[in-house]
Amino acid sequence: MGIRPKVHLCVFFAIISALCIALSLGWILQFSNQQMLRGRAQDEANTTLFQMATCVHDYLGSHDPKYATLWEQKNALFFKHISVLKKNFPGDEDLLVVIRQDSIKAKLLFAHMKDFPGDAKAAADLHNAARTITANISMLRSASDRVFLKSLGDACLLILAFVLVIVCVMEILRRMTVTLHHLEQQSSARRQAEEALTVERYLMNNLLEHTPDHVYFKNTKSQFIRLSRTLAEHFGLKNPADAEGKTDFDFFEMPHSGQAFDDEQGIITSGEPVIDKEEREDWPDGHVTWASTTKVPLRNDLGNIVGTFGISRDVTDKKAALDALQVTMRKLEISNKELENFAYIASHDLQEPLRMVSSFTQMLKKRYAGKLDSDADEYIGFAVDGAKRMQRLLNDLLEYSRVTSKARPLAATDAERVFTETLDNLQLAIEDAHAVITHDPLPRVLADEVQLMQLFQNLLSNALKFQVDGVAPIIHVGVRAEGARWIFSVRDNGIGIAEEYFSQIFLIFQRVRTQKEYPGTGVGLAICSKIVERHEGKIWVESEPGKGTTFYFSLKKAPGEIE
Amino acid sequence: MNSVFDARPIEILLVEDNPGDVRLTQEALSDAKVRNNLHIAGNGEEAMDFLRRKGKFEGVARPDLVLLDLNLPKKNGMEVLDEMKHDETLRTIPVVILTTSEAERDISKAYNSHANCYIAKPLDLDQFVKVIKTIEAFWFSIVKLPQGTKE
Repeated sequence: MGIRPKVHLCVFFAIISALCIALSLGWILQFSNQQMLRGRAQDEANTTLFQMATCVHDYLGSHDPKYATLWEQKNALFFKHISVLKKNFPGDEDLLVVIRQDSIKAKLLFAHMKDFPGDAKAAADLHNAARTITANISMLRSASDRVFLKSLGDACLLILAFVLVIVCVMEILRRMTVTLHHLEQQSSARRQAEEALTVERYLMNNLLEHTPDHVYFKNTKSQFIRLSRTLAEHFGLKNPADAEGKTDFDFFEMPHSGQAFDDEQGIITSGEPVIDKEEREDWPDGHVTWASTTKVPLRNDLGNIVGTFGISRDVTDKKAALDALQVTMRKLEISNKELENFAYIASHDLQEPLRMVSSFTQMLKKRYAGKLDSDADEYIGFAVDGAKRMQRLLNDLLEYSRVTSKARPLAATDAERVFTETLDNLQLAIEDAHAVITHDPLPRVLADEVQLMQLFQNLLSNALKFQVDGVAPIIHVGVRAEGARWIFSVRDNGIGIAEEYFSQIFLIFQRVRTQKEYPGTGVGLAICSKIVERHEGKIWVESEPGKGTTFYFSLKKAPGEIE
Repeated sequence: MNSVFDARPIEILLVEDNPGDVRLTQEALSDAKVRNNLHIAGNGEEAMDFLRRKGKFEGVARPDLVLLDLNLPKKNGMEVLDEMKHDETLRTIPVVILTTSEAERDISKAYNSHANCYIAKPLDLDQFVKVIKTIEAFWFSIVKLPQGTKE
């Protein structure tokens, strides 16, 4: 059932009602039609009678036989009407008999009058007969009207009663339908509830039977109410039901069992959950596992706390991996630090003995050049050059190691100001090279000011240094925004670099050109790369031999300048 | 020229453990315009003994200038400086820190202990000689020292 049968029922009753009303109307129509026919017959009978009476009157006045003939005709017509009336008025037959008798009487009187036109008594009788007939016709008529009205009244009453019965029946049916519908709804709701319960049951069963996590419900005494199969197995139980009524104290050792109990009691008191707590689980055989646990208050339908429920996941392996990773990271950090320290100490401490070597070879050269043989002069020359070169290398290496060891925190820095200061520092070199240096207005960046200056200085120095003989360097420093970063570019018209060296040039002590052509240690760009790296930016190069070089590097925009 | 220096040579105490540096300093001062006596202390303790004329240093001259290295055995340069500047009789002697350290920490610590100046040893020989000569010229030709410190 449902909504559909109700519609069917309504349609059924509507059809029944319509049929009833139609039948009633038909009956009324038929009745009134009958009445109309009878009325017309009466009218015609009346008219005929009147004409007959007139004939009698005229005849009596003139004794013209034509009136007698006319009367005969009318009388015949009248009888025809009477027969109609008789057919339709079974109840008024007595009156009709009287009328008929009077009519026959009148017929006889007419016949008599034809023979004795001067008979006054007969004339009077004829007259009376005509009048009686007329009166009786009137009576017949009113009787017929009464009958009609009575019939009409009966019909109305009948219709009313019928309508009432229909209304009552419909109301009863309506109420039955409503009751049925209600009952139906109740049973449907019950069925739905049962279905929902079934779904709940299998959802819960699936969860508890198959989840790899440890799921459990506990009462206010921290006793297990239900728990997942995996947790039961974790406890060494075959059947999860075996754990019901027990507590953590039955399975774990202190301090974990005590800590878990305290946590649960805290949740019951405060209503505050414990989320993602990393727990060390102590087992009776002394081994330890780790779990990530979330515990939440368990509430009944009224919202009252009736226990706790929790989900914990075994993270022993993950924890071990994480611990191992942390140890590795720590080792790596230490090793990195040691390496940096080593680079610093090595470059710093090596300077000291090297200074001696360098100073005294120079002293030798100063004092004894030309006083020994030419081989000695040459040897001393090599020693002096080697020592000087090594000093430069150590110095640059020290500089390189300082990028991290002497780093200052990154702060909002005006690149324009830093660049201007860099130009001041390089003023002599710029003038010597007759260089033309232009630049875009430079923005504020997130940088270590000293290192930003070092970055500009190294790139500009390179642009000044790697120049075609006799050509004045033209250098442009540009900048463009890209998301949260600025991309700086340092473009020159120098000798350029072949693409195969693009990555090599940023490595420490890597040189593309010979010492003789362009002296240097090969640390400058390595320092640039390390500085940019420390600023979490990128540095790269675009170049073609003979067509100049453009170095690009990206730096973060200063805080508050990011659109 | 200071008349005092015309009368007697300048006494310089070099506190330095590196014989190479001692030699370089000697070389640099050998052709100095001002006549000078360079005394050497190889470590901090020896330096303090010299200044206080203790033991084998009895009767030595009071230095007009101390060239002090920081990295020293036994007692380091910073301790020597501290002791000198806390000693009423020694605190007026100018102390020039001459060291390889360029660490910010050492520089500020030295000045906080009232070092008179701090010089990082240049790596290059010519530069080194130039620095020593500049020290000599500055402290003995340009600067006026309190007469009370002299004997």
